[in-house]
Amino acid sequence: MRRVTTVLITFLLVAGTSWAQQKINETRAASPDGIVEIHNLAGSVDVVGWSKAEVEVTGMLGKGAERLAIDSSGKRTVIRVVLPRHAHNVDGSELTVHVPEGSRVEVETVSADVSAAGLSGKLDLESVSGDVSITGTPSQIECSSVSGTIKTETTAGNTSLETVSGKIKVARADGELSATSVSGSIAIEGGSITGGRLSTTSGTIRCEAAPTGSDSLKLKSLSGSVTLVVPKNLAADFELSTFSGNIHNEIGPKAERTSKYAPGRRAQFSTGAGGPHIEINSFSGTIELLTK
Amino acid sequence: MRCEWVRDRIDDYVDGELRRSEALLVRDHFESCPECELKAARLLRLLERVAGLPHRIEPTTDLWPSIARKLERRPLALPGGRRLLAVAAALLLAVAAVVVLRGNLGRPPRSALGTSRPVTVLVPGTALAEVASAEASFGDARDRLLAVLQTRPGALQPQTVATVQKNLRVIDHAISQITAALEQDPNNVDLAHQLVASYQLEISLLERATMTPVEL
Repeated sequence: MRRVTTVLITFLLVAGTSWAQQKINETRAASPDGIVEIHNLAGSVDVVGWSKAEVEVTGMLGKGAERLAIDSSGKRTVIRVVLPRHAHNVDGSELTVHVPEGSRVEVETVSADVSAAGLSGKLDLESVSGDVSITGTPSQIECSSVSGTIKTETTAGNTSLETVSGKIKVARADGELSATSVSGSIAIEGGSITGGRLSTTSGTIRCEAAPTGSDSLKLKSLSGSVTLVVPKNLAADFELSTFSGNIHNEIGPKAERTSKYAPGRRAQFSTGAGGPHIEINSFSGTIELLTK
Repeated sequence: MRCEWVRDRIDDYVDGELRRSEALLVRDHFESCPECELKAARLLRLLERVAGLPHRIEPTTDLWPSIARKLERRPLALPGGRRLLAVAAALLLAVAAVVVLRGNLGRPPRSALGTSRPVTVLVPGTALAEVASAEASFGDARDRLLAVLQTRPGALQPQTVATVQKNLRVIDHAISQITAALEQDPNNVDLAHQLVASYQLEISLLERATMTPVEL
């Protein structure tokens, strides 16, 4: 009887271990300018650039996860948390992935939060409900989250950020920027934009990045308010229009009614010698053009 | 060449409906812009995926009943005379805008909010046919994606389903807002574009849910 009990306890301990969180520590050689693809449905994915020509994955596999698969082929390394079919009560996995700083990084999650830091290659990050946070100076960013918040310290080159209900926040813009949300807000806190489009249906837009370059910048919302804060001495061509909202213009002429019978307002003017074409419009949201 | 110019034409490019001269310009642009090329490839994959789906799938289980019910409650061709007219006008204008853009290689037409709307020349028979086709395409794609979801019982966690549902409601609300705005300003090309983009977003969200690997 005693032996049976010992065997049973041993079995339970082993079985218990396999269902508990498992520590991960895996390393693979990788190209300095390769592609690293990461799939983790729940938990978190933190990607960090480093100077080694290696990919290292550390962290914890969630309880119930089957294994961590790492496949390398040519310049591509694919990291995937594999879950058992028809499993239940699987916990999220927490992954920290060190990659060569020049890697192109592609991350796909469902509810896992994603962070990327210290990377100089292109980032392509997607989540359904996870938050996404980017620091460092990637060469290009393409990022979407359905309901999570997207926060990025900088943008560069051609950046595309998209949410349905999540917020978008850029601390310092640089280059061409496209940011789209349905009901989430868009806040560009500083930097400069060479062109692009910020648009929402009902979310507010506030942009404090200076428009530069020759491409046009468009800020559009249906019912959200749109605020653009520009340097006092900015030379640009402006076109502001709203169907039924108000226009508060600190640097140009007062907006005029577009029709005797319709509520629309419009202001079109240039400052200095003219410059980038800046178009702001809303259907019913308030438009503000302010100076710093 | 600016990416914006190319992206305005990507739909027609993958449909093979661009004029040869424009198609060549787009193709040239792809050689120097992997991003636009990727967008075209993704769109092509989506179209192939939708086209390749079975026309009718009998669901084995009643998965996602609330999503299906919700979407069934809001038919794409919106009921009611004025509403339907507004949507038809919007889609008509979206198609018209494409027609205008096709003939204008420069800057796309500026905002139509307020005044200074671009002059659009419509070919009623053709445009109306395209409107009907566009509406049908969205409805068809949505129905097929819902059918695919119904074949994946237990594929997504309840929280994910809730997130998708919540955001479908957000898009629904946006579509209602845009449609209401179009009732007030039926010649607004921007709104028409926004309406079409919202439909596309809905399809994209459903597509993403169908492509999400099995969670549990």
